[in-house]
Amino acid sequence: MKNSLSFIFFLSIVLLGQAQTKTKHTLRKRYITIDDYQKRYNKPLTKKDSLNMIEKDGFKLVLIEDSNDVVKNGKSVPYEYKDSTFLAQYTKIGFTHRNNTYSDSTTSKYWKQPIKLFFDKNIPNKTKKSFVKFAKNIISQVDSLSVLTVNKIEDSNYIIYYSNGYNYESNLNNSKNSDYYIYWKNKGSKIYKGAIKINKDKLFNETLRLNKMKSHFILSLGYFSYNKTLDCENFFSGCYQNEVYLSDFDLEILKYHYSYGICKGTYISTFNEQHKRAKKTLKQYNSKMFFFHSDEKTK
Amino acid sequence: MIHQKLEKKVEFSKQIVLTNAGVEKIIDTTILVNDSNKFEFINTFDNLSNYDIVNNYRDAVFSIKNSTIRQFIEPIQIYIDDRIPKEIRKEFKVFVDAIPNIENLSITFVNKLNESNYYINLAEKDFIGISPDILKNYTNEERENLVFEKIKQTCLYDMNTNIYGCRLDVNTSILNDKNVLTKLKKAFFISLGNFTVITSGMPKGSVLDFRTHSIDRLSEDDILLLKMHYFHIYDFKVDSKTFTNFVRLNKKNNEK
Repeated sequence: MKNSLSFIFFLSIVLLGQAQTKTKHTLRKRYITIDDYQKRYNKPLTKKDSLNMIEKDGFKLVLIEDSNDVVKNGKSVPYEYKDSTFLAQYTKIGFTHRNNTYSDSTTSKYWKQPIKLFFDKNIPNKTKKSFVKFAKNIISQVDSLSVLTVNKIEDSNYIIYYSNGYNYESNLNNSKNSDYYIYWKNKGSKIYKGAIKINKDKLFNETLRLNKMKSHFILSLGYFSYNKTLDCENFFSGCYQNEVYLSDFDLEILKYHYSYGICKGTYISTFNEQHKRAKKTLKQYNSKMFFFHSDEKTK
Repeated sequence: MIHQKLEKKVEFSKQIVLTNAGVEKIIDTTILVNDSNKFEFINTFDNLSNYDIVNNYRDAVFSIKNSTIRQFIEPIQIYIDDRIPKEIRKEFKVFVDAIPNIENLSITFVNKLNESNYYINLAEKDFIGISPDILKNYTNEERENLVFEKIKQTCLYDMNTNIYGCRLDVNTSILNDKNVLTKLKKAFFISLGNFTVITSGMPKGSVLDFRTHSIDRLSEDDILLLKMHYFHIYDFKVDSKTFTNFVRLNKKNNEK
C-alpha cells in the first residue's frame, strides 16, 4: 500500500459526569489525503467530507469517518505477577469484609490523592516529628502514595488528635479506645479523608501514643485487616510491636496494594478473576496482559 | 485436637536472579511452611501433669466464661506516681523485687513515665470502682478487703489478647486505709494474668483467695501460678478448651 499521510489531531474535552468528578479525555480524529481517501473508499468525496477537510503541510486532508474515538488519558501497566500464596495472604489483608463476612463485592481501598496531615495542637512536637518521619519513610517506599503536613485544618484530609481535645471526627466520638476512621465514596474504593483519635488516658505516655498512631496510620492506608496466619515479626499479624515497623513482607503487601500491575479498587471476585486470566495469558502465550489506568481526578 | 490445628506460617523472601538477557531481576516468593515448633513446649511443660496445680490454674484463669490466657508480652517496666507516699512506694518495690526470677516474666522499675509500660497513678478524682449493685452483696467487713473498689485497673491488649501495658489508678482515699499495700500488691499480681479472685478453692494465703486479707510476700503457690502462666508465651489465643488439649497432649506424650 502506498504510504499515506495520516495526521492525528488530539482535542481535549472536559466531560462532566458526577458532580465531584472532572475527567479529561482525548478526542482523536484521523485524516488522510484525498488520493488515499478515494483509493480506500472507492467513492467521490461528499459535501460532508468537504466540510471536514483541513490543510496541513500543503496537503488537503479528509477526515476518516467514524474515527472520532474518545481515548482516555492514562497509562497501561504490565501485569505484575505474584504467586498464589502471596495473593492469598494479600487478599486477607487488603480486602476487609463488612462485619467480617465474606462478600464477592468487597473492594480494596486506597488513597488516590496525597495524604495531607493535620495535627491537633495537643500533640507534642516531638511526637509529631517522630510520626511524620515514620510516615514519610514508609510512604517513600511506595509508588503513587504521598504524604505531607499542613498547618491549617482546611488544607488537610487527615487529622490526628488526642481524646482530651476537640473531637474532630464525629464517627469516633463514642470510641472508648484509640481508633481511626476513613472515608471513601459509597460503594467505591478511593479513600479521600481520614482521622486518628488517640485515647490519652489509656495510652498513658507518648511512647504508647506514638506507637498506636503509627499502627492506625498503616491500617488506614488501605483499610487493612490483620492476618493471624502471619508470624509476629510482621506488622500485619496483629501482634504487638514495641516499636511499630514493617517487615519485608509487610512492605511488599503495601507496595503491591499500590501497584498498578493489576486493576485497583475492584471487587475481590474481579481481582481474583483478573489474576487468573493474566496468569493464563502469561503461561499460554508467554506475554503479559496490560492494565489501563485512566488519569481521572477527583475533587 | 491440637494436631489438626497445626498451623502453617508464611515465609517471604526476595531473590535476585539473572534473566536470559543478563538483566538482574528481583523475584519474591511466598511459601507456607508447617509450624511444627508451635506446640513443642508441651513436651517440657511438666506442671501440666500436676492435677492440683492445673486445677488451681484453671480457677485463676478460666473462671470467667470465654476467658483466654493473658500474658505480658513485653518486660514490665513500672513507674510509680511520685505523689504516692514514699513508704508505700518503697514497700511495694520490695514486694516486687522479692518475686524470684521467672522465665519470660521480667519486672523492673523506671524513673520516667515515658519509659514505662506499667503505671501506678494517683487518681485526680476519687472514684468507686465497683457498682453499687455488686457492692450490696458484700458486708462492710468484706468490702474493706475488696481490691478494686478504690483501685482501677486498665490494661492494653493486642490481637491475641496479650498485655502490652497496664495502669493502676489509685484513689487518694485508699492511702488512709490500713491495708492499702495489700490491695496494691493484690491488684498488681492480678494484672499479671488478668487472674480471678475466687471465694473458695485457692490455696490458703494466695492473693486469689478472697479470704486472704494480708499480703507481705507472694506465697509459694502464687509463685508457682506465675511460673505456670509464663512458662510459654503464646502467639495465639488460648481458651479453656485449648488449655485442656495442652494437658491431654502432655499426658499422651508422657505415656509414650
